[in-house]
Amino acid sequence: MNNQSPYMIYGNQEVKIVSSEHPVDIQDINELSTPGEISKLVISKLKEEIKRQLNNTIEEAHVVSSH
Amino acid sequence: MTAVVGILNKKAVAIAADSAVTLGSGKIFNKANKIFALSENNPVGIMIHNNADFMGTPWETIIKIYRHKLGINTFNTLEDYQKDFISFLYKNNFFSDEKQQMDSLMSFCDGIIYHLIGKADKEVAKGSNDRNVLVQEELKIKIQEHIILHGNNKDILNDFKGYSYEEFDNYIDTEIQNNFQEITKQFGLLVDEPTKKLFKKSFYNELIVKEFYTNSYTGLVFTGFGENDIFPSLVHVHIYLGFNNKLRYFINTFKNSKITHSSPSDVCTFAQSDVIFTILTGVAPDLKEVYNQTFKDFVTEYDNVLLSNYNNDKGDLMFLLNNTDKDALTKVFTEIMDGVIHNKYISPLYEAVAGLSKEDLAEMAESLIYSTYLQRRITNAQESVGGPVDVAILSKGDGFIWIKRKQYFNSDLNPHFIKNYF
Repeated sequence: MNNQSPYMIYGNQEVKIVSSEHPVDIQDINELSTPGEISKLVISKLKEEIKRQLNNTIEEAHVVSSH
Repeated sequence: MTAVVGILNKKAVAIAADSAVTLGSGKIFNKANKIFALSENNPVGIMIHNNADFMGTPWETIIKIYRHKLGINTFNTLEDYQKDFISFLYKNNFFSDEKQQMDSLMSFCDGIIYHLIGKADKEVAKGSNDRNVLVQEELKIKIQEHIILHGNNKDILNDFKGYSYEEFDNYIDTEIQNNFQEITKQFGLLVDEPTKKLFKKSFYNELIVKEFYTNSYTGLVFTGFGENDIFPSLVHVHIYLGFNNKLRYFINTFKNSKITHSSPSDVCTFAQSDVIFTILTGVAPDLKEVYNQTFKDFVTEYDNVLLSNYNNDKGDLMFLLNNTDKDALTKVFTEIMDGVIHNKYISPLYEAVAGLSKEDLAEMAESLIYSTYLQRRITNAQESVGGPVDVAILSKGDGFIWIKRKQYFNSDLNPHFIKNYF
């Protein structure tokens, strides 16, 4: 706590612990999950995303070339 | 600075705060009170953090005058207590005279001036020829950026809806000239008329909107039960300054909490929350920023290395790598890691907190504040969280109960204090 401070300090936004639902479904992870299990999950979700992006890219390239 | 916490479940809310107060000179005292009972008849408490004064008047004094005035009156909900407390500030002309109010407004403007001069100064190399002229030019750019930043914010504070720039300009025009003269005196920078106008616009744009860039406010945390409340709740208010019957304040709804059947527990931290956040989520907030940024930098850099080593490849690899969306990958990574933190740390903790007894809630609140104190104590960090930890439990049946409270006097010698506590 400060007494009346003459100047402001910028960029001190507070953090909040959010208990509400998270946007990604990760039902397999709980408080007993090991680092290895977590790592496996992270990699598989990233692979899914890369695959999705690559499919989109290839599809778009195909559309462009067929025109 | 301060560490303040409120832990809520259906039975009660435990609140705890340290006792450190940091003066402008940097000196730290460990005797401050930051928790107060607000009502004689209902379990309602108030905690303060950041500025200990409201434009020169100690919050402790204001709160105790309010409590005395409130007497045995009650309100149906916690929000009603909060609203009545804010109107009490208006009714008492913000506990300040016109000069004090103007001084506070000038101090607000000074904060922006020093911030922008500091930013402009950093942009110009030391030892440059005509450095002051270059800083002056840079300053204009920084002020314009500031005007745009806050001008784009459409979240206008209640008291400033319909308050025009012209009204503001008329109100400060004479007084603000001293601040401009001070810039020339202190920094050797010439403040011409166009720069003055820009400055005034930047003050106005920031003054009227809800923002989180500054910490020149007092955080008031109202918590407990109104007459009709079955479960506790918590309301967080930022109050900056008042002048001309206008109060610059807002409810920080992001930090509010209300216990319900579907949301049976909450842990609310205020001010210096880093240690508590680390304990409860398993990761320090600044470290979390680091690993998210590092992930993005890594995937970008990894692609660059591949591309530079296969620069003869004009085929699929280069095409695919160039078309990978690094922001989307980082978003997936961040969301998964947040989910892991939620499932592995936060969710089990909140489940446990929902079932804690009053005593355990109090012990948890005290321990979280003490951990912050200890971290500051055993590292090179400034001991801005420290001193005795005050702890109270507020419950519907038992009311406001102090578990730990420092006293500056011997209670045995002052029985009248205990007798006349409210």
